Amino acid sequence: MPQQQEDILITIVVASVFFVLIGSFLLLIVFVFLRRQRKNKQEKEEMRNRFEQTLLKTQLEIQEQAFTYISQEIHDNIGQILSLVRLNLNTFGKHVTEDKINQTDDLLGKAIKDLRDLSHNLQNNRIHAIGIIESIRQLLISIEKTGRFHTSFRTSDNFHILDANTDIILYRMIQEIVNNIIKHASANSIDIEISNKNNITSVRITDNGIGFDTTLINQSTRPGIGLQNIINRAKMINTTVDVNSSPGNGTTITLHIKPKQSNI
Amino acid sequence: MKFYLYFEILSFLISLTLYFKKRNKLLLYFIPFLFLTVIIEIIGSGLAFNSWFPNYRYAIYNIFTTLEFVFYSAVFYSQFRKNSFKKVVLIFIPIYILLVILNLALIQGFNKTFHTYTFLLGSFFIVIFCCCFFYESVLPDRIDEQLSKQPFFWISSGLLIYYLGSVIINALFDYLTTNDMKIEGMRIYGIINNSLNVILYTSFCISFFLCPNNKKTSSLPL
Repeated sequence: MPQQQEDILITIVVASVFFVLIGSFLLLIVFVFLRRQRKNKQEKEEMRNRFEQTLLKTQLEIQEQAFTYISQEIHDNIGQILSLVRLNLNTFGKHVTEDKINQTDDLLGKAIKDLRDLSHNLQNNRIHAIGIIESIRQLLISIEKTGRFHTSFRTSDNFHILDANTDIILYRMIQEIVNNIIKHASANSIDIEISNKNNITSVRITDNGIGFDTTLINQSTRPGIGLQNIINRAKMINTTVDVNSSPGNGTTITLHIKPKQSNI
Repeated sequence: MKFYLYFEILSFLISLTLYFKKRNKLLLYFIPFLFLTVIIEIIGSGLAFNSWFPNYRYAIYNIFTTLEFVFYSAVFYSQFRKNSFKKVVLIFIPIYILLVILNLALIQGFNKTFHTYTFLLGSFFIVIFCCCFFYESVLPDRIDEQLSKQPFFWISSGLLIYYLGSVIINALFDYLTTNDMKIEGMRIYGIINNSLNVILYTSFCISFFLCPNNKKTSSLPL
């Protein structure tokens, strides 16, 4: 057989093998693609489950916080007022001055008002009902009532409402940051500012406390549980956490909430 | 006798045996088809009347391969979920039959040679149908289905590799069977065709084993 014909036959064999390889490669691509798709779906489901767990945990924590607040209010405030009313009633003789009656009536009125406020705190889905802005405002009011802190709250006009689940988690993060300030910062002023720019909502929480060295967060193998909780929750709602602090200069924590991704 | 004929007979026997056990529709479709394939291959390989009617050899293969493409297309039609793919198959079948008739009557002749033009067209469409099936398999609603456990995946894979691999030898069939290189050419054709047929019928056998059992069983209450 001439050399040329032999070459042609070899080319035919090689080309046929090449086509078979193309077919096999196509099958391999289908397999790899399917496996990756399946993995992505699994990850999305895991993410959704984690989000739901966090949401549930957050709701329980908020409820627990509300119960603690209510118990303190009943003991320290309403209990005291009612004791005072009782004391007043015990001093009532045959001739009671109108001043005394008015004073007792005022005290009872205050106790009724406080009880009404407390009953609102017990309401389920309170954050859903009154919104995150009002919830933060009431949180600051309750802190200010202790007399140890001066608070301020500013929101931008173009603040757009986040979805209900994000609101709950965001509120819990703010509550946790505020709790940290109360416990560790030795501050007497807490400022919260909410702004909205380019579809990113920013919540800035500032205190005038002792501050801390932020490099310690990165150096330690594990940041404090409080901060770790905040960071974990932030991931769930597509939020980044900026901590700006130095010893003696207070702390500013800014939460940047990006638009929600459709996969959760 | 061609080596792959054993695989054809084996796949026919497996489909027949498993059909009685499983009563699966896919197996039912393949029983008559594989029976016909075995008969045609025996006739074509010269065991029977090749020596008596040598001129009918091409005619038999031309008719059979046309039926083969129609059969595979019909199976794809039954397996596709998307209506658009089903429509393509429905349009393809009559047009393909018409083109084969025109080709055999006017261009390549009924029993002069193998109908390479329309065979290549058929191969091209079977490869396209295989790709359509794989496309359907990777759609989000079918992600959870294990592809390697689906019977039709193996049939599609076998067909894809067979028709892709046989494109060159079938396109150059006339050239390979010319007198000056007939022996070597036929040898190469035989080796490639044998190997691809072994792959094709092995994948058919795997798919038959994977067919779900549709046989209804009943048991007497205790």
